[in-house]
Amino acid sequence: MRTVNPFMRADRIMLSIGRVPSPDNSKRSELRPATTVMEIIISLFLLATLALLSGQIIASVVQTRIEQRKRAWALQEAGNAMEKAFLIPWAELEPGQRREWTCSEAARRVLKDARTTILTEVTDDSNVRRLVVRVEWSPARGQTTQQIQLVVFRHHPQHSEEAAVATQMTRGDAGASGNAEEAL
Amino acid sequence: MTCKRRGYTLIEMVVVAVLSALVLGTAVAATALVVGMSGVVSREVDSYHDLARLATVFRNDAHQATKFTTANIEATVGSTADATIISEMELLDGRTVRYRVQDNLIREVLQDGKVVARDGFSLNQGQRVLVKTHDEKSQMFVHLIVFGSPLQDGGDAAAHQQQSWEVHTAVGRDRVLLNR
Repeated sequence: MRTVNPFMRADRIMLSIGRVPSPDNSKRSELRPATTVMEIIISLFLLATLALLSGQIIASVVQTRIEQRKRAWALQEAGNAMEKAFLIPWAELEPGQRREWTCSEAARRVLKDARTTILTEVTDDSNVRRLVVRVEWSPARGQTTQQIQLVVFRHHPQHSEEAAVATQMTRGDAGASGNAEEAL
Repeated sequence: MTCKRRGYTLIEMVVVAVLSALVLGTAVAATALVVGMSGVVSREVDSYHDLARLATVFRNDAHQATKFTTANIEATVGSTADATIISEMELLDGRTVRYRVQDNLIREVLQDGKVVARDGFSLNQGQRVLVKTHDEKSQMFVHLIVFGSPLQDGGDAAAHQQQSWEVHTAVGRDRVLLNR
């Protein structure tokens, strides 16, 4: 027969939940097995961890999707601005000049506070100008301003004519060359 | 001495079963949501890549165009069995490029009246395509507009329809730069 110290018994009752003395018909006290506080705490901790991890993954996927969409729109907007930048007369391409262009309505709907700037920079060759087309927008709260940047090189029309004709024979592209880079 | 082994009561079992079902259901739903969203994100990325490819190809064609014509109508993808030609351009090298809408947006390159190349851009059924032109400082600009969101995965259907993806390009830009 198992005997239980009254002090120990009280102690165990205090530490457990749902542990209640069974009806004592045979003058023998028997404890009903139940769950301890520690077990419940561990279970809750594990559940909370699982929920937190799932939440983080879902939030991350949603955030990635939104960011990806915004970058695609910004890149498109920069491409449209670059089309106009190509046709700016050479005489108006003063080094250091910064032009602010308004974004399209469709882009403004997706990109908060979107603004397009075209910066004219000099290169080692005085007959070449580097145009930086930049689209900036404000992301969600607590994040720094995001931007997409395209770079295009404009050549002086007179000085690049021979090279342009030669290029046109092979590439069908003349008087200008461009490359694109994305900036984080 | 008889020692009875205690088991679980029915109420306890029911509560445990309900809680287990709840936890498992939540876990399965969360996993399904994550997997489903990953699929949606992948499809959306593909759609935007295709639109970006369309923008690049269309701009390249327009830059080399010596003559540009547009039907100036909104053609809906998948609405008719017959193709709707929305734009046609003659290039510097004598070839002709035309864009037509059927089940997809299709680009055809013609030489001496024969199709020598065909390229497709996958758009969703119901998306609309419009090509229109405008002049700016004696330069013709063309706008290729794709109406409708690449993906319609819930949300406001009307807003999806109103969303537009625009490609602006200067017609004959290469020729303009060459003659400048």
